[in-house]
Amino acid sequence: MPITLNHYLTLSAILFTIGMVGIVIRRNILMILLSMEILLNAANLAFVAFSRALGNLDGQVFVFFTITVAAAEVAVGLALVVVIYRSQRITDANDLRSLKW
Amino acid sequence: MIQAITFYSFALLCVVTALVVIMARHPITSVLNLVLCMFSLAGLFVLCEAYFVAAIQVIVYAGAVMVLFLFVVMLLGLQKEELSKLKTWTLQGAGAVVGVLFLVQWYMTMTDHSASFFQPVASLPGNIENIGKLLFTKFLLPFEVSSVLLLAAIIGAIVLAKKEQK
Repeated sequence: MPITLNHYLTLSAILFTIGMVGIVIRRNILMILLSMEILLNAANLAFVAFSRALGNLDGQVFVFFTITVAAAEVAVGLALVVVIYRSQRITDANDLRSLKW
Repeated sequence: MIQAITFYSFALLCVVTALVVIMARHPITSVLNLVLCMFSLAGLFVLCEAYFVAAIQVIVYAGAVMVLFLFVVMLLGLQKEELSKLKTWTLQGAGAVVGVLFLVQWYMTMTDHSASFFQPVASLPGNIENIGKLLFTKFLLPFEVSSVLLLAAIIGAIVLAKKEQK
């Protein structure tokens, strides 16, 4: 059976599911951020698959921007995690209850 | 035939490593498996003739972003997560509901035959020249704005994480 667009979309949906379940069941903040990366990669795969199926390169340019935005978001997110850990020694997401400490 | 073998092996590697990422107890295991997941995704991108995006994925995503994660995990000195902290019944139930919903979506994708483009059409390969042509004409504004975004992220990360001056 030749590899069609549906195969790529199925794989993207499975990866997205895994990422979502990871965000829900994990308690450590860093692991939640890691599961978000799986989500972003699943979306990138869907973009590239559609770009190939439609014969248009716009999807791949959008993946370029998605990777850029993901890198910026990870940098700021990890800086926040480092600041929180430095002041409060918290790594559990459930312990972050107040905006001011 | 070779395409099918390649696709299925990369896809299997991707799914298995992603499952290990969300289920591993030690954070380093999760991070390193995510690096492997990104490499297998880069292989899938090459299979879709998206060569530039595959290279960017390996260099930027797996090479810079994940290394940053690894730095922070080692900086914080995280230990193995307690197994009892990982699984409470509400969290498991929520995870199962999310999983079922998206598997339903997968089923609907697989049985939907209304789309007219099943086979990938012949198109321009996604090498640097073709993407560059698009990036500097049609997507010029997002390109310039993303450079401002990266500047903001750099400044934000440094301001947030630098130590207080006494």
